[in-house]
Amino acid sequence: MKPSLARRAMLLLGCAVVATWTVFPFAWYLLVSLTTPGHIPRRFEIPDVLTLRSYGAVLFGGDFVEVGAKFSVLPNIVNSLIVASLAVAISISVSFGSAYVFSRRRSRLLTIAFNGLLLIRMTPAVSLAVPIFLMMSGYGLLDTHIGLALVHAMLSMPLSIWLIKGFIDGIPVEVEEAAYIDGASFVQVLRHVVVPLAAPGVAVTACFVFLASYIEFMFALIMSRGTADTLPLAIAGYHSEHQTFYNEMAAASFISMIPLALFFYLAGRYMVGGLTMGAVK
Amino acid sequence: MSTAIYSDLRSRLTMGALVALPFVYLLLLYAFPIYKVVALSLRDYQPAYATDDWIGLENYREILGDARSWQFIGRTFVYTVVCVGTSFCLGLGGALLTVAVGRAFSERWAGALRQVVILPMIFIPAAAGVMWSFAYTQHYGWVNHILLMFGLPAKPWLVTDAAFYLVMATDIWGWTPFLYLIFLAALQQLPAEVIEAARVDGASARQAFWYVILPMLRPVIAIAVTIKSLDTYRAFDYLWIMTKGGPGTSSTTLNIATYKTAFLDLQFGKASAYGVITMLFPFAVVILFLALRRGRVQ
Repeated sequence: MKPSLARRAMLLLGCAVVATWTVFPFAWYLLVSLTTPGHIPRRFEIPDVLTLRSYGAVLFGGDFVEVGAKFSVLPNIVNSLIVASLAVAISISVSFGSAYVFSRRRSRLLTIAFNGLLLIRMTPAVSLAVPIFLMMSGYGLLDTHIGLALVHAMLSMPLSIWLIKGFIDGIPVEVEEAAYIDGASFVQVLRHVVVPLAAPGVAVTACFVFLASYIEFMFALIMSRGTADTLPLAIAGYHSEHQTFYNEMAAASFISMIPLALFFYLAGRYMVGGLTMGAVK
Repeated sequence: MSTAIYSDLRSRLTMGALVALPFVYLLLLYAFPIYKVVALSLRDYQPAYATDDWIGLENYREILGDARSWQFIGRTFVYTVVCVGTSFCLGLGGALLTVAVGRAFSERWAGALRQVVILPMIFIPAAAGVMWSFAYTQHYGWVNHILLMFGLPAKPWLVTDAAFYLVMATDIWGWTPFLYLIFLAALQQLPAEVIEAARVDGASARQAFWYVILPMLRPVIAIAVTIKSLDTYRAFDYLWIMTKGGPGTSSTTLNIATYKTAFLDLQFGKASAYGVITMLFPFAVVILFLALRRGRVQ
């Protein structure tokens, strides 16, 4: 049954509306990032000069532009990458064994613990802000990479356990039983059988934990004092009451999208499982 | 697993240690802060003024006796309901459109449409926040350029009373793809035969949607909307970046109020009370959700 012409026209119209809604703001912002620093595209014209100078200024500092922001966000990018990598390392190493047990064993206590993770995942971050700020201040961990990474690892611990458990569920238990019959100890099975088989799933989980830390804003805001400022803080910092460097702000925004764009457009098929914490496959 | 392998004591102890590890971590960095926020909410704690006194429920009385706090609470729910409601309709509509495009044209078209719809997801929230703030500025923003084209006045929109609604629009723009992706995946997994059978039996497209497709999607919708609602309720970044709760307190929600009381007014005790009030609702929802699911399983 071929759909009628009118129906196909309606569908195309719908696509056009959707594309305008998502692409138009994006395209205009892209144009701003490519305009000479200090200038804004007038109304809806393509500017005479398209240049990558804002990107240069954002990455390498003020020598690229006469007017505009004189600072580089490169240190912030490095901070973000360090914090997110530490968060991944902590979160995965602490949660992997636990996820394995949740996958292979059943008990009342385990069920309660597993459901309790939902409570942690849904707690408003601001409710934890004051005590965590005071704790980190007490341990001298404010404005350090490890302090922020510890908090980010805590925030993504439930996600990490849920996702890895889901991937281990997909590994047939017979493989372990074979190793068991051959006399391998539990720790040996975990290290030489489960870990290699679960590696792709762990990689996907690591991406989610990484991105969650990479985009996190509130704890970065309260815990950083300049030296450990992450990229979201730097980008928000462009937009101040006194002066806003729009072109550099746009360029920094586009640079910040690279990890998310890579993940969403390359590993898109894992996305739904991760977004819903494994509840919907 | 029926016959448990590794049931010897040593393996079981190892497993116990492994499963406990993240919970020890969470005890230190989650449970202790939760205890601490409740304890602090009963104190007048302002380190900047060297004040630290036990005052019982005074913070709560002060907050709940202030009409503005009730506005913050109301606004938090308005924000959640409007954003989730709109994102839900747009997300489901977009998913149905994608499926329809896939049928009427080709799967490749549907795939392209999907890539376009999820574009806002590659923005980190901070970047989406500053981008939209910029779009609403009086002289440079494209929103005002469009208004001027139609002869309407340009305004610095984020310092008007419309600010709160414009932040909600940004939230909807940024998070609709989240629900869209979930609904699209669910729609594509629906058994096509069931829908075709309904159509063959004479159901119109609308009837098939309401009486066949929607009921089959219900479990997915329930989970997705619950997660999205609780995430939206916690929303902080767009509001903080775009308006900081202003102008005045006109876009202040519970989250913003907690943050401001703590880190701008430096009243840690009162902020903790706001923090406790903020987390009551999500806790209630999660416990209800688990209880309902338990009831259904049994």
